[in-house]
Amino acid sequence: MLTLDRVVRSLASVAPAGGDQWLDGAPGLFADKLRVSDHVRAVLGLDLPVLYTEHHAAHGASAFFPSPFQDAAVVTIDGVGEWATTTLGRGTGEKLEILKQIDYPHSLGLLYSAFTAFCGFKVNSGEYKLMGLAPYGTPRFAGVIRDEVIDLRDDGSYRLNMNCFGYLDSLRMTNARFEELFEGPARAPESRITRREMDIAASIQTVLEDAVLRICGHACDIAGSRNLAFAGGVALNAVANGKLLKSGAFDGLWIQPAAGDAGGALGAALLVSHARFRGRRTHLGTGTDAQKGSLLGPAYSSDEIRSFLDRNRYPYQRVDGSERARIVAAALADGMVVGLASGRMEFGPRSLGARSILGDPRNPEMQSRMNLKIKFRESFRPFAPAVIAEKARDYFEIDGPSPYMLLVVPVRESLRTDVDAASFTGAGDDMLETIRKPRSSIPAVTHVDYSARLQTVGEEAEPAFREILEAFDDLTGCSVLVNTSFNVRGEPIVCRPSDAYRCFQRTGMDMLVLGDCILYKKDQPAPPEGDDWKDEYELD
Amino acid sequence: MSLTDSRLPPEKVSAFFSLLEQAAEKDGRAHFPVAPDRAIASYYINRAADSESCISEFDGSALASLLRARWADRPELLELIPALVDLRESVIPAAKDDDGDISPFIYEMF
Repeated sequence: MLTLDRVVRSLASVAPAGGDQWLDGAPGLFADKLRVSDHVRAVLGLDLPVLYTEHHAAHGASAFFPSPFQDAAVVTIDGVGEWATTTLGRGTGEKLEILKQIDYPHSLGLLYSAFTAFCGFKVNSGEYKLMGLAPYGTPRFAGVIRDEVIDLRDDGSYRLNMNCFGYLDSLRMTNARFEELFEGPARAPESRITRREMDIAASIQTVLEDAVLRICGHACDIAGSRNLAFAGGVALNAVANGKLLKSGAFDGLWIQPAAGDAGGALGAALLVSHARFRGRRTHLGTGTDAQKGSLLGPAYSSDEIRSFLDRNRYPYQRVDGSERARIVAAALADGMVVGLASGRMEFGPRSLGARSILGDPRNPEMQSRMNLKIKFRESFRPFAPAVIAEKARDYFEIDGPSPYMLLVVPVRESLRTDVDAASFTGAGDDMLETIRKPRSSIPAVTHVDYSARLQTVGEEAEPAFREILEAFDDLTGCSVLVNTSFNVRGEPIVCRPSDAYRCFQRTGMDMLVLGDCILYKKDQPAPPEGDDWKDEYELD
Repeated sequence: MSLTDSRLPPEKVSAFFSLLEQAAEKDGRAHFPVAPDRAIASYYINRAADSESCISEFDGSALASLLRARWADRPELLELIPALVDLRESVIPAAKDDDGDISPFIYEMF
């Protein structure tokens, strides 16, 4: 109902403009959102009360209740919920309060999404591309953004200048005024990325980091806690999260791995559990969170996997755990790219070793090979490292765990290779040439600014993944692997064995691990003619 | 993806927007600020909401009364309530999934 209120008021503010928005949005609003309780009852076949939670309260609950903190400041930042786009709150024991908020149309999430769209990437999926593009540029537009687009106060509160945006009254995020400020029209999707887009990305990333730091700092002040629990789509900006960590302003930082709207489902359940059904945070005091490594998805038994492979007559080798790790480690060291599907699938957007594609980070060709032949995605995008938790400090400037790949941290200086900084922040905009220059002894996971989006792999991680990392370490002396999500561009992360096999066959992966079964690409039947993933998935 | 594969009669959707245009023209007051204001010290809105106050039940049959309470200070919006209730009750099954038509270059606001 609050969303309907926002929609009507928003349209009433801009009418007679806004008609296209209404025609597009009304069916989903009336057929789905306003009938959710009817659908839930119909699916369950039960006439039970259906409870609704505020969107940002659900995000806040998803951040605080699974966190290891007895008390924390709770911050949520995303595009928009009902009205709220940013909330600051306090979590104490089993209680969660919202203390302050910013309302639509003023939104850090929508601000970042507007720049995402302007740079030619899709809203709601391309934001992490903009984040990945930022280190290639210089923040020469940051002043324009602060002067003309957003008024950001010391306490982190902010207001947008809506005369730069189109999302109130059109199906575009930005408008002609925005184009005036940022040197011309938006980049066409899939067209060449120029220096302008790199500089725009660097600029909005700088402003976003500043805003997030101020908001979270103020939240700690008003909550009276130096722990921070963070969720909402903006909490997936791992570069900003790394800055939060580096600031030293917080004793503890916990970010919900499913920080986007998927995590809202978890948060809604937790909120109601604690408010209505005396839910208890039994993990407090154990030194761990309650997220269980975010391995909350479905798992497939060895029998199910072998049944699938046998039924389809796909050649495979069955191995036990230690042998599997040894074989996979040797294959990785030999330059192979390996798909791993083992145990319960991850909940959230990051692959954490249960549905992952793995590679050797020491190989200078690995980034471009995995981007162009395995993932079919833009060549500038970096890959993330997974490192044995106990050895993380040997490679990265980090003092604590990062089990959910939500923090971007620097690669240790001792591992870096000198590269002329002008080669990527200078006049040229040939990104491929920049990417090909190794920046460290683990070049496949070292971004142009020597940063890496890190996953530390501890005892709580997917066991097969941890074993492979240990075996690779034993074999090569390197405790790090490239870990990227098991999917191609535009495809959801694979879940079932059949999903994994199909993705394996459609890409340049060399080996597939399905539970305790190993499959080599060279042994598999040729995929059916015309089986092209691009026919099935729209580019993200 | 639409949860129900349902849709609304397009003529009713269009007709509502005409009503809304008339309402907006009649009143003309802003519903929210659209630009920075240097006179304001902080843009935060204070709340004191505990978990319980963020949980509610929504019964579609109560939509009209809920909106009347919400829009008590905006009489021009009150006039829209019958049309909104009618829209909610006009959902019809359809094979086509409308959500796929939404531009990927606009944040899904609704």
